[in-house]
Amino acid sequence: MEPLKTQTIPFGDSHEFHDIFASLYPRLVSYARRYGATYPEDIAQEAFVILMQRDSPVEHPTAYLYGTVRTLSLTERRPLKNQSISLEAVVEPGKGPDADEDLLSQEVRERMKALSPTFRETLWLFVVEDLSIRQISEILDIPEATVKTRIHRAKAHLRNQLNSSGGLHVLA
Amino acid sequence: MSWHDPARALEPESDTALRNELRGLLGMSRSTPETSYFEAEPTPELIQLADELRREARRRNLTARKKSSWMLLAAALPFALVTAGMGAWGVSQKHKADQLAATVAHEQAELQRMAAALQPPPAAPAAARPLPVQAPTAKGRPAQTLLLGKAAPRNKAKELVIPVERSKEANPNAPQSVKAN
Repeated sequence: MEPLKTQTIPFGDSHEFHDIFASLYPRLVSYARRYGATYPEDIAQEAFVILMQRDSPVEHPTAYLYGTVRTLSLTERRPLKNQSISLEAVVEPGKGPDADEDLLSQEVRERMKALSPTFRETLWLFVVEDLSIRQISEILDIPEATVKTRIHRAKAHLRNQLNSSGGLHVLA
Repeated sequence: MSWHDPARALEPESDTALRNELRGLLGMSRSTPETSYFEAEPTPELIQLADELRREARRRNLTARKKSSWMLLAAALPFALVTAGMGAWGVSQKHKADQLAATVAHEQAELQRMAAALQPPPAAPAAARPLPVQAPTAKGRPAQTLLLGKAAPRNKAKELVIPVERSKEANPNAPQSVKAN
């Protein structure tokens, strides 16, 4: 049987793809782990395959990958079909909280945990994953204005948190 | 497909400043283990994995897509046949209904024509008929009303009419006197 040629996939040249894959793959695995996915590596790989399988090009491939990983992770964790699951229940249990241990210091993790899951998710994508507001709106499927609102509210929460503990003076 | 994201490249400075500020609030500026975590070099294992995923995508493109399109066509075929059959039946029914309506209209026209041919012509003009005598009335009512008023009792059955004197005050319990004719 003739081996399949990888050049037929319209996805840039090999070097560019290898570089992007090397930088994005660990992020996507970590992102899937945050959602408590049992097999985060499989989910990240499946997201890449789904993206490359598409006939029509995607405007924001990174956002598409993150969104696919999020959807697949939520689907994997869904206990029954047609049963919705809350974000509070998704982000926290399983390996979700442990997923940050390799990435963030104890201090950052504590501050993140003080936020609500909705704000934490948006803040994570904006600050840790270094994604733009447009990309986050595509990943979470919400308007850009909502993303901005969530980020600013998270910022206010963090400020209040630091003010109450006196941490802001330390930072200043 | 290009990996370069215009939304990320054209990010306004305010967003960048906001990100830096949030990093400061979170305390990430001092300890950034995540930076080193995400700066991964393309190792041979990762390169091999990337190529395998590309091959898998290619394989799925060649197999799954065609199969799904054929299955979609096969699933849509019965619906298309039923729709086409119903459409043809509807058109034939409409044609039959139009023919029947035309036949009925033709028959009605024929009947009207025959009825008009059998009907005798009018003997005299309506103006030559004798007019009914209009009797003068005391209260000045129109004669036609009087004629109708007189003609109406003929058809009525005979009945006993008892005139009642109405008192000025309406009292249903008061005794009423009846005149005998």
